[in-house]
Amino acid sequence: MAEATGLALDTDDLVEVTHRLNAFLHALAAIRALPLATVEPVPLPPADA
Amino acid sequence: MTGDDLAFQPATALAGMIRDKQVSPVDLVQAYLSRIDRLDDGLRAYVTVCRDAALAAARAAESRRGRGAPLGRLGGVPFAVKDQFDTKGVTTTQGSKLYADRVPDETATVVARLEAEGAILLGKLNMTEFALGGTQDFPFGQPRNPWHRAHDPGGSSSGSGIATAAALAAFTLGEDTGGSVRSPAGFCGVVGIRPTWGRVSRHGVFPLSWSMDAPGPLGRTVADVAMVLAIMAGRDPRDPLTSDAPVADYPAAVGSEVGGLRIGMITELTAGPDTSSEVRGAIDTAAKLLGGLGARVDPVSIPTLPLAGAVFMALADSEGAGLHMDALRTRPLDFDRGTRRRLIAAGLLPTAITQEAARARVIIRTEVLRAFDRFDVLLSPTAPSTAASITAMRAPIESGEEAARRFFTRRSFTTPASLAGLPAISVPCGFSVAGLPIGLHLMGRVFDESTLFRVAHAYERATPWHQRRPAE
Repeated sequence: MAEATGLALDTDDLVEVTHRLNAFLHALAAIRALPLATVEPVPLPPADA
Repeated sequence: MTGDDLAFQPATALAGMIRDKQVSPVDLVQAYLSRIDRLDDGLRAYVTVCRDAALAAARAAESRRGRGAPLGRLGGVPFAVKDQFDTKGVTTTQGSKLYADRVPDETATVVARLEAEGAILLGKLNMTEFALGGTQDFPFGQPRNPWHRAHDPGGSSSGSGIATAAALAAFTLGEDTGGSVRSPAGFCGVVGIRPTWGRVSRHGVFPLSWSMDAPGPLGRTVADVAMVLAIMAGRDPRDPLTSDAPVADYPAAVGSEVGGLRIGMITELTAGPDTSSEVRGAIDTAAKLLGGLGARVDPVSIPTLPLAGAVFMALADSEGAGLHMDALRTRPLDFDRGTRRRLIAAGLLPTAITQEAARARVIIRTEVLRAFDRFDVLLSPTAPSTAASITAMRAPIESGEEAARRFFTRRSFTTPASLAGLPAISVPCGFSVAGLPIGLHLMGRVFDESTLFRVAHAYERATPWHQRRPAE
């Protein structure tokens, strides 16, 4: 994936990037229990802001 | 009063002493420069000290005072800013080798506003690279916690927390995307506020996440932070995302009573499995004290908050990866290895997952806003534990579980305000047995910084924590 994106990784980088990516994938799996389909992904704070 | 005693005076008091001719602005700048000379080799708060320019500005302030000309609300008061804020003619590094020689030709709006009120720029402060956090080898020296030099001072506004706590400036500026003002404030035992998103201009502030970046002040008292934010806040035509909403009189909120206010104590962050017993004890005591001052404190559950850290990092780090992708491809070794690995991991996250995180952000924000139907302020710790040792921060990451624990857990305490665009303040609320500060985190409604100042000051006035000084 890194090569396809044009990024060079050495062995140490690869190990840690893999752990970090796995951490994201594991932690973000939990958000699928939320009603994600019921909301739009609008990044701005509320209109009264 | 000795130079050291003078340096620890609140910025608001110093402004009054200068106006009343009890203190010379030149003597005050020299008092801070003397402390920087004596202490900063060990603390590494500063990247650049503007010695000659600060002394020249102090002499000019003294001359204005002599002529009876107005000095401004912070006339003659020395301050320092995170090296993320552009300063005309002064190197602005973003904490990175990639920008080591960058000299902006314009000053960030908020810095210019403070200078227009007479504040004197002492220098530029150390930070984690590109305001991301997790820097392993700081190119401009390892910043250290003034309360215990083997410990981390927090980030990303590391130098801002250090310089404020160790009185190497009267006050400082930081920038808070996911907790970068509040974390160093909490870990260094000072006050720091993240204002409502859009309240303060980001013009001339190097970006991390456009929908969450929020410059904010750090000070040794709540009144100082209220005064500085009052000057920083308000519409800036050069930042189209600043709000037209009127800026409240923050200093007027300082000193108001808290009787009748409803405070929600967030169960998941105060009594959750990640919160240390020392931190929980300090927060329980603070909540009881606020109850004794007349506020009504009740528990409130916001079940999605433990997910906030991962959701925040998926969104903010992906933005960061996009911002730095060209340099990651062409100059990867000029990044710190911690920054490089963090950005690459976020850059490889599948888009479908970051889109899910964006939707989860909306759900978290809705839950937080709903809590404000019942409460005026939400209370929790600024961090689940006191500052980690620098050795622990630099240890290799051995597994995905460890990465999650190290990077997401602590951020779930500060990122709910970031994801929701709300103001939040950290105020000192005690010390651990090891002598490290503990921060009390108060989150408020959109544009209701005044209520945060009201509660924080009532708490500060009733406790001794802000009067302690770190040993040299």
